[in-house]
Amino acid sequence: MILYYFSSSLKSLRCNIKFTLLNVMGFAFALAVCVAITLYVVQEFSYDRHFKDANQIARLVDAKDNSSDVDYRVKDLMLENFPEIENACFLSRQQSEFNIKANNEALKSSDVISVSSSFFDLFSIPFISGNPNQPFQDKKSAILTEEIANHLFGTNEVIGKEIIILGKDTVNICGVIANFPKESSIEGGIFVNGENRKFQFSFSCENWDDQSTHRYEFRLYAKINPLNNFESVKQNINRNSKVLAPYVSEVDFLPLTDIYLNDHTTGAQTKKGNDSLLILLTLIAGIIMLLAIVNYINLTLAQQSKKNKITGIRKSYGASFMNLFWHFISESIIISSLAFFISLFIILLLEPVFQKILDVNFELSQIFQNHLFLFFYLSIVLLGILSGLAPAIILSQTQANHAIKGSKKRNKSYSRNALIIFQFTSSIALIICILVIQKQIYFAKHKDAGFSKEQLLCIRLPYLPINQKKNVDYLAEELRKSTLIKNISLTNGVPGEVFISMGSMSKDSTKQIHIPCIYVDTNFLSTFNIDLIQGTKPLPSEYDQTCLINESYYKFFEFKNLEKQRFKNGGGFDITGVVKDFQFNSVHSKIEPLCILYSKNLNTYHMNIRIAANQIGDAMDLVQEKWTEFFSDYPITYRFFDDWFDSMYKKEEKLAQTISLFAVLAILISCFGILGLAIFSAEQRTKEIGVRKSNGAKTYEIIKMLNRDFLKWVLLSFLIASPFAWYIMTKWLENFAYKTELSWWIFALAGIIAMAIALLTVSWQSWRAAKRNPVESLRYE
Amino acid sequence: MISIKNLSKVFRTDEIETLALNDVNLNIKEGEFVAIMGPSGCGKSTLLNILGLLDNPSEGEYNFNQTEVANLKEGQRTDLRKGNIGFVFQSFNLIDELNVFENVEMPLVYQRISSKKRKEMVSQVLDRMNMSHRAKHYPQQLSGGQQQRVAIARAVVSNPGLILADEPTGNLDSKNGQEVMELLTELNREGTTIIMVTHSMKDAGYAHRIINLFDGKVVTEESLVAEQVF
Repeated sequence: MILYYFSSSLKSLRCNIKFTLLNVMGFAFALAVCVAITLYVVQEFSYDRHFKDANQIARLVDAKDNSSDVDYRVKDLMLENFPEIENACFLSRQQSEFNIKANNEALKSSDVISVSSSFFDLFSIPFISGNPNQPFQDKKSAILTEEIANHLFGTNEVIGKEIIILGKDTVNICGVIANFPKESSIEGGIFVNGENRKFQFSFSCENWDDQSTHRYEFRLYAKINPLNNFESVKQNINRNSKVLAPYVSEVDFLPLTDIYLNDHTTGAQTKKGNDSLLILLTLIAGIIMLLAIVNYINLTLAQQSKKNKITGIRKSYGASFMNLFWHFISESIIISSLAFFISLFIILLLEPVFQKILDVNFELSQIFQNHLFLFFYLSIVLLGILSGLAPAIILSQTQANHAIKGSKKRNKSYSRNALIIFQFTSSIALIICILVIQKQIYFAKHKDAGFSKEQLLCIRLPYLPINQKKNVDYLAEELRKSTLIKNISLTNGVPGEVFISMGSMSKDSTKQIHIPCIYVDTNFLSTFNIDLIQGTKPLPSEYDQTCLINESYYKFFEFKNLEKQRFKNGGGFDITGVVKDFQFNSVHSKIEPLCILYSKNLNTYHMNIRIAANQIGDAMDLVQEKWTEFFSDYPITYRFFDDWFDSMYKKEEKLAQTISLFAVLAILISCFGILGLAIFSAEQRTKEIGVRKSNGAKTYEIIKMLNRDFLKWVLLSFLIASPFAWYIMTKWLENFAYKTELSWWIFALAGIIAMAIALLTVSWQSWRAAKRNPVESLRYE
Repeated sequence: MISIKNLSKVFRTDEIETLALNDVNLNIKEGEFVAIMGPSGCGKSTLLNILGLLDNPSEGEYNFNQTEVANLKEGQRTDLRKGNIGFVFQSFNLIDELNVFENVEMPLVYQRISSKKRKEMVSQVLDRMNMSHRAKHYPQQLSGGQQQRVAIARAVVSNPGLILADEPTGNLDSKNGQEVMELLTELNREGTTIIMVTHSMKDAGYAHRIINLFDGKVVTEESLVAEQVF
């Protein structure tokens, strides 16, 4: 019997090829999106789960500061005092790139990571060579991943070779480990021994002279005994919090498997997933799938009159309700299965687009792994049943005698209208979202940053031995001689990269607050084109005693004038002037108070070069040439401020691209549905069209009549979608310190686009119906 | 076989109430060939639908094969119809997407008859209708007469006791019409009860009895053969 259902369904689908195609394609596109998003979500959730005993590992968090920065000494204190902790390790990565030298070649690497030897045990990393029981032979040992070994030396047989880090610290390679799986939140290629004071990268103290306040900050991972859970271990530690004092006052654990997606601590130093993007994508997948189901229901019901006749015939020959029900369900299962296989081709076709936008390295073969295929296929059968349910129930109930007669009452189906309104509403809301996101990106990119970003180059200087520091000044002097270069300023800290913040007393002098600071030379304001709006620039004779502040600082401390105002850090600095606010921190945050310190012997980290107009090519050649002259041992790292600031919107641009792609697919699917309904509506009104035409209606009047219904739906959907999209986008814009307006024209434009799409889809069908000979139309009954 | 007492059927829409059948009384014996005649809208097709258990009457009694069926639920009517009643329609009502064989096979599928047995039964009936050579053809590839022969084949394939024909020659030319009528007569001769709605006096001439309906009422009944045959 089942076979009979399927074979007759196949025949029926073949006979109604137009609707079948619309249905299958609608489903196929939706499934392609869902399969791609599912693969992405599965990948994002699989992070760190590949580590052995991943469920027993967690990162220790200082609950009071919500910080992952913990002094390395906590590791031993924990292992000594809490037996439920089986193992622990610490690690630290430098955020910026390192200059390294391997095989006599100078390179930059961001892969240097400082760990305790227990790291390799805790994360069960297989060794290719070296001794897993004693990973580091001494404090000057290093271990490489296979990939880095090959990259640096062209082979993985590297034991005994040397790497020079930061131009001064030589380490010996004593082991090679397998590459980290891509789905790991911890990244690293060159593992150095964290017991070595030189590789304790991050240091902080409240008072330099008081050794007890010195902290060497690391990330601390602990593995608990399988008989315990993190909650009980945490409670036990916090009950005995004195043990870890003064380093941590309150402990919390962040499970390893949560780190990638749910880490909201500071100082994490791990790869972070975009959980809001994940939620958004899942939502989009859901909406798109719903759209496809709605399509199916709509298109199937649209064929009602045709199907009714067959249902009637079957019924009069003894088909029961259940027989008919299974006829319809088998049809929808066939459609969804067909769609599934076509969707695989669509994915194959769109793979590069998905890869670029989702930044996910998926291969179609992944679908065939890990029972994922079975999962997908069963979901698809379920989907078929689900979408076939409503039409099956409605159509199976038809009275046989009415059905056979093929009664073509024009039934006003409210549910069908609701379905089409749902489709239009989703499409319009998505269009509004795309427009707002694009507008915000445009707004932010073109906002006045307070300094001129164009033709401004920033060279990041390497960490230099003392005897080479003078070369920075020589290089600057050399470059200044050229007409290609307009100005050069040496600084420590630039817009987009401020490393230093200094404690200063608050307004009421009761507590210490941290103020970001940059050290600059005399050329700073002229090189960056930053306006001085009050006071004077510090004189060279006042260096290291005076400073400038920005407007936000002036406002924050509620200054009336600059008289006797000081930046209260250490000995203090006299404030001589105020500069116009410029964007020195993340483009997403508000401009904060900033202190610009003038210094003679600054520890230069940035060389900022203002290049003469239209001379970038020649100027860059010159800079490269001179750089090699002075710093042949170091590769040059530079970026242009305009590109740099633009790149800060990468996340938003990716979001915009993602939503755009899926919105286009959602709209496409809706179009399939609308087209189906247009065919249906024209067919249902064939007689009406004939009567109207025989009474003198012109073709365009008929088209107008047929299109009017659809426009009515678009309008209604617009009214529903607008406040919804407005709410979502207002929430989204709250993420930005400087936001664009939700202008009325965005909504109007979205409405017009939706209307245009609907008209384009519907009009062809309406035109065809309207052009028919009235005699033909009348005979139809 | 069929006994109807005081049967009425009312169709209601929001504002209009139409009395399609008004107090109809009728008896049809097994093996009879009855023609129902009357002008358009007199309730012929409504009566046929009720007789064929496609619809329930609004009032009255309907006894089919010694079972009271006037108030049966849809499912029960379907079960009773299966294998007992065959339909022949004016517009043939073949399913376009199924070929001749599959169209004829359909009623047997719902009776859960095995595929092997189905094949046998369908081949037999197609042979009889001289349609075997067209078994793989689709309805739209056949002439009207051929289509109606297939429809008759479908109606008789499960050997029902009753065949209901709604203007079976209405869409056919006279030659094909005559062929169809001869087929029906032959079936009747073999024992199948036939009730046929028709406008054609000529077709009605094949029946044993003609029932004339007017405005939902039986106005005359005329017998064309001697009573004692039955």
